[in-house]
Amino acid sequence: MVLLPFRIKVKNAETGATVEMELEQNNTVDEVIESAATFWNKEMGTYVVRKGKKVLRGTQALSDAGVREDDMLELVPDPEGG
Amino acid sequence: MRPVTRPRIVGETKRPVLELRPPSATRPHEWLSEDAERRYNEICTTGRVFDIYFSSVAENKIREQAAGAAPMRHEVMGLLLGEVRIWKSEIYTVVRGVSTTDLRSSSANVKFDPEALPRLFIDLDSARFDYVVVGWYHSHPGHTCFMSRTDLNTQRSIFTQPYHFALVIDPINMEIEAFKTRGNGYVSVPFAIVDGATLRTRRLKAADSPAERQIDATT
Repeated sequence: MVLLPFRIKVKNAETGATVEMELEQNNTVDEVIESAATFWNKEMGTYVVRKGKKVLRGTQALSDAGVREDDMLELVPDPEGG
Repeated sequence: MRPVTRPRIVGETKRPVLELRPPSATRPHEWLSEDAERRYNEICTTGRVFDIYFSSVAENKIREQAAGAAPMRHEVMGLLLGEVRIWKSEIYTVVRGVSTTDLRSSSANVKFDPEALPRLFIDLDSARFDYVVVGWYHSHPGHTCFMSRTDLNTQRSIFTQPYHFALVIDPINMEIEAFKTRGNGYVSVPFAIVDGATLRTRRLKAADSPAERQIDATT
C-alpha cells in the first residue's frame, strides 16, 4: 500500500509561530516533536504535543494517534519548578 | 518495505508583534520589596516601558492558588498567557491569563501531573485570545523568591526568548518577583499591575500606530 505524504501544522505555544510539516502516516509523534524542536532549537524532553485536549504520546504512529491532513498540533512547555 | 521518510518542514509563519502604546494606568504589586518598588517608581517617573504588564485578574489567580497550597507548604505552578508587543522599538510583554492543572508537588518541587494534561489543554483553549506562553509561574512557600537550579534549567531549556520570564511567588512571606536569565545567572525584572480590561487588544487610534507590524520578536 502506498501512503501518500500529507501536511499538518505545528504551533509553538511560546512564540505563536507555526510550521507546516510534510510527513507520512508512519511517522511517529516523537519524530514530529524532534523535527519541530530542532527547527526551533529546543530540547525535546521539555515539551508535550497536543491535538486539541489530547496528549500525543511519543512512539505512537501518527495514524494511530489520529493525526490527519491539515490538523493543527501544538507544542506546549512542560516546566519543572524547584 | 520502503523506509519511512522523516518529517520535513516546508514553511514557517511567525506571529506578528502588535505595535501598541503600553497601558498608562498601572500600580505596583503590594508584595514588592522596597528596592523593587523604588525601581517601579523610577520607571513611572521617567516614562519608560516596563518589561512586563500583568493583568490584575491573572495575578489574583496566581496568588489565590499559591495561598491555597501554602498551608501544606506545597508549590504551585502554571503557564503565563499573554502577548508580545512593541512600542517605540521597546519590546514588552503583557500577561492576560494563566493556565494550570493538577500538579505533582512538594515543598521543593512541582510539575504538571501527566494524567492531568488534558485539563491544562482545556484551560488553554478557554483563553479568549490568541495567546503566547510568555513565561511560567511557581511558588516557593516560605522559601522567598529566587531561581533555584531546577528553575534555571527550566528557564534555559524552555523559555529562551528575550520576552520570556519566570514569576516566583512566596505566599507565606508575601513576596513576589519576576526574573529573566542573563549570562550564567538571572536578574530581577520590574513589572506593573494593570486592570485586566485595559490589556485587551483594541483597535488603534490613527495617532497611535500604523497597525500591526511583522516583527521577528525572536531576534
